[in-house]
Amino acid sequence: MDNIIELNQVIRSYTQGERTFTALNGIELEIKQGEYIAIVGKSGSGKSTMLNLITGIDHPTSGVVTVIGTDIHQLNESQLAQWRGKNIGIVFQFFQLIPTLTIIENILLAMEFVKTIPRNERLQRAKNLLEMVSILDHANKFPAGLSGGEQQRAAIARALANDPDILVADEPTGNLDSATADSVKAIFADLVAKGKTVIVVTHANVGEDEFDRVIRLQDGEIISSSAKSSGQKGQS
Amino acid sequence: MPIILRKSFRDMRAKLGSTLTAILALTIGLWGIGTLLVSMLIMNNDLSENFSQTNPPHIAIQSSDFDKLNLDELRSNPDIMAAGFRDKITLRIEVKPDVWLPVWLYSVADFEHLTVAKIYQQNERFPPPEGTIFIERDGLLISNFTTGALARLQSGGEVFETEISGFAFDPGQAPSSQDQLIFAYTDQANYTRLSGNPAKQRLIIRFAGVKTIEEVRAKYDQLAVEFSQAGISIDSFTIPKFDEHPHQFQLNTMLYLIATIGLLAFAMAMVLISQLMSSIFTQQIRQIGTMKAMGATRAHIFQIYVSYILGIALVSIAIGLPLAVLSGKAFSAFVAGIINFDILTTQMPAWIYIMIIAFGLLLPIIFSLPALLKGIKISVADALGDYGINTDQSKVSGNHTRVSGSTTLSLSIRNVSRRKSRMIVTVATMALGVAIFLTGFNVRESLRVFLDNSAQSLKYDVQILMKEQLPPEVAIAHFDSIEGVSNIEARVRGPVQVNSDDITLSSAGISVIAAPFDSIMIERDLLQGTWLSSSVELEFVTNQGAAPAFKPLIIGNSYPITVGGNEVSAKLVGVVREFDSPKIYLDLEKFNALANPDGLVNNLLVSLSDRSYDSVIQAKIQIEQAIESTGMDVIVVMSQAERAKVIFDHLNIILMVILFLSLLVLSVSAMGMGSAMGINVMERTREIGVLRAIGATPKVVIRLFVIEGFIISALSVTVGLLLALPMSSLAAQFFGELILGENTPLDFAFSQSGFSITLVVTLLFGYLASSVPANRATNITVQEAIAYE
Ligand SMILES: Nc1ncnc2c1ncn2[C@@H]1O[C@H](COP(=O)(O)OP(=O)(O)OP(=O)(O)O)[C@@H](O)[C@H]1O
Ligand SMILES: [Mg+2]
Repeated sequence: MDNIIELNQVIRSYTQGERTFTALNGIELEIKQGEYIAIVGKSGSGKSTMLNLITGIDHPTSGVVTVIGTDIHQLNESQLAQWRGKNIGIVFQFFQLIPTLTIIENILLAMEFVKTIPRNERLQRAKNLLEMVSILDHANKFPAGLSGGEQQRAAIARALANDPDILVADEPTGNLDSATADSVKAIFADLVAKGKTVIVVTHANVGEDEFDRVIRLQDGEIISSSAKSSGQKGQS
Repeated sequence: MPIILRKSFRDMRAKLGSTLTAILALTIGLWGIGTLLVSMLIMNNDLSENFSQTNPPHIAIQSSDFDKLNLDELRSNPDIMAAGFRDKITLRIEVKPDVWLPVWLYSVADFEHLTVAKIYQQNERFPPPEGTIFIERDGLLISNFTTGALARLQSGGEVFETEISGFAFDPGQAPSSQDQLIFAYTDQANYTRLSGNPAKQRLIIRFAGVKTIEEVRAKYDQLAVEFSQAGISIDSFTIPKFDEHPHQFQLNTMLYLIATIGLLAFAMAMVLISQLMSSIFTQQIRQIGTMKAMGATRAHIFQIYVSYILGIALVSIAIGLPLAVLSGKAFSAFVAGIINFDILTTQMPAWIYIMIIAFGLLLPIIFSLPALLKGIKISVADALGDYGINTDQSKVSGNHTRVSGSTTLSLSIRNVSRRKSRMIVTVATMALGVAIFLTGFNVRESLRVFLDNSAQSLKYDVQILMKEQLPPEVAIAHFDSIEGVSNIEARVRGPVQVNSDDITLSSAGISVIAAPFDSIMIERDLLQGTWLSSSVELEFVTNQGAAPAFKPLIIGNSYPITVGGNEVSAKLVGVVREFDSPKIYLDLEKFNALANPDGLVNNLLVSLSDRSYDSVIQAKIQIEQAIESTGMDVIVVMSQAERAKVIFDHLNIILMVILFLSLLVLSVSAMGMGSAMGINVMERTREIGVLRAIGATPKVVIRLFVIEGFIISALSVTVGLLLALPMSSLAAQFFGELILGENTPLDFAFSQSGFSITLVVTLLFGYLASSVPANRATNITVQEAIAYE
């Protein structure tokens, strides 16, 4: 099966005054449809930077990022926004729900921007998503009225609003207690089972068995990319 | 409701404070500009409409040969739109017991079929029954007249009585209350009885198809030829300003004022809006980033925030527009009452509504555009912080490690300069507001000083103008035994003809005053040159009102003038400034030698040893009694105090408008400064949390912001003051020329009360606008402050 994500010779460096700092250096990476990937590494190793390049939020200094067959950094800003809304769901570490919209409205807003879901199906789909992450009861509450774990699940539901093929999450469980974190992880595993590609950044000591593959970053370079010892999934 | 609109609506509610401030600013801006538009429309239209509906005459011709004129034939002349006899004489009328004012008594041939200089009935009895008079309605404000009462008129030294049968409205006249002059209308027989003059000696004409005063003059010249062929010799003629109400200058001044200041106030409201919007967008940056990450295009973001702005605009229009129409009408009615005209406009034209709505919708969008575009363009990575989607809210830039009382000032200064562009806008707006306010007050002060000076320059207390000419000893003898009279100067006042292109001035529009060159009765306010001297050469001085008759105006040049039928050449030595009709001054002795061989006089200036108001009024009553007992034929007896009041009344309405508008501007800009500071504190709520977390007490934090507020206020006042100086002298020049005539600037004056008000308002606003939100920000918990969005 084809790679859903490919990074070729990707370099991302920041120039601050005189100094140039290379956050990612010569990254080569291939991710296949339906893989469940963890990106791990110490703070400052470049995890978030890599994720931002994959979602098109950040641009590489050099190299090519191809996602679902599109060289995404060839798109202009609005094309990229629409493309991202359609194909990638993003779960932010600090949830980033719109505070003046209710939970269900947050999901409907994501659908409104992209418009792939027919208007008459949106409400039902939003409810199904909330049901899936077990917070349908809170559909009409504002984000401030939810606990951190509930907000995180709402953010996941919103990321899935337009049925994207890829879900990325930057330290999604970093702020959660272990029980809540486990329920979030369960949702991800469930999504992978349904054929979605899920990429999670974490610097916690991960139970590596959960993932199909663990990519280790150090000082902007991939130092290892270890596949699960048994029963690799989604690979030919 | 579509989800995007719902978000805009909720944002409005969530940031209620900013939203309401924006609505308030826009409402005030729209209200202000709407009031101006509405009142300008009404006043500009209605005064001239009132005036032109009367069919004002273009010329009045005086002749004793009009019995040879066939009026019907003249009226059928295609050059003539309307013509009729309207004799006019100046008499005196008793408006209150022992208070006499000049009255212009007109004869009206046929009240019901007026075609030129129409007057309108104010009550049922129209036309006035024969032998009675009508009084122009504005005269009611300065008299005890009632319908059915007997009016007493002084004419040729005698007192006549005649019934007041009602009141009329004559939109062609200056308001009686301002000019201290009564207008009365009667039939021709009664006119002759009261004035002692035959009727049908003054013909008023409105020409057809003339557009300028030069065309009037040309038409008159043609007519004069026809008249002389018919054996009619013309004694004199008067051409008034072309189709212009006598008090149009007051309206013009006000329209200029409200237009310029109003626009500036509106501009400031717009600056305020743009600041508010930029603060709102700043607070929304993170959300914009999130939405873009969710797939929102620039168009989506634009849509969300434009509907937010439009929401604010719609609310403001809904409040501001009806208010504007109401207050515009009220202001016009107020001015109409003072200038004595009727409001005719009842229905506002649709374009005015459309214009105010368009202003209200478009301008806030245009003014928010820079902030809006910045918000739209920002990249997701920038919007979510330097660290992309892994936004860590605890990474607050905090380089203030130690906050002690002694470093507060330097920290405040650093903070003021940190948000440079906003600070510049805030200070500039406030400074402009201060400058306009001070300019308003300074111009008002200039006018006040001018009035004071005119009052003080007069060293006499009562002036008597007679219709008859008397030997000076005889005239003075009537009054010098009156108690308290210390000095009486006799002078001559009469008409003078000049060769001038200025048609109004040359058609019997200038008076000559012949007074001793070394008279001490008036201190001269010289604009150019010197006062008259004892030189053998014939010298004259003109006031600024008559100055346009001498072109080019060069001190030292000689100009031909005609007095008492003799044309002579006189040397111009000076120009004086006075709020008075056009006049030139000659030395009495030289005038007598030229045109007054018997040395008769008609003008007395009386000074009193006790110049207090009560003593002047007492003396005036005795003067009136002396006039009645000696049967002198007098036109005017006016005290200096009354004259000062006449001048003041002419200018007061302008002063009031200046005051009102200046206050409006100052409050809009103070609001702008206040909200900018409020925003500043609000945006730094998180920073306040950090400061407190590292040990700053609320007192220190509040002091930090209050010092910041004072720095901004003080800067604004200083810059405003510096701006106000050149602006004030330009404005004094401009309004001097508008009110007093060309080349007549007012002197710059500094209004201390204006400056004090500025200081108090600015510093108070600076204090409140920084301390109130700072208090609020320190009242929430450190945790809430740090998490503040
Ligand atoms: N906008 C930027 N300008 C300059 N340097 C940056 C910028 N963004 C990231 N960096 C630097 O690039 C490096 C990688 O940053 P990145 O955010 O990817 O690290 P990370 O692995 O996600 O760390 P953490 O676990 O703390 O989130 C860091 O050293 C960071 O300081
Ligand atoms: Mg990171």
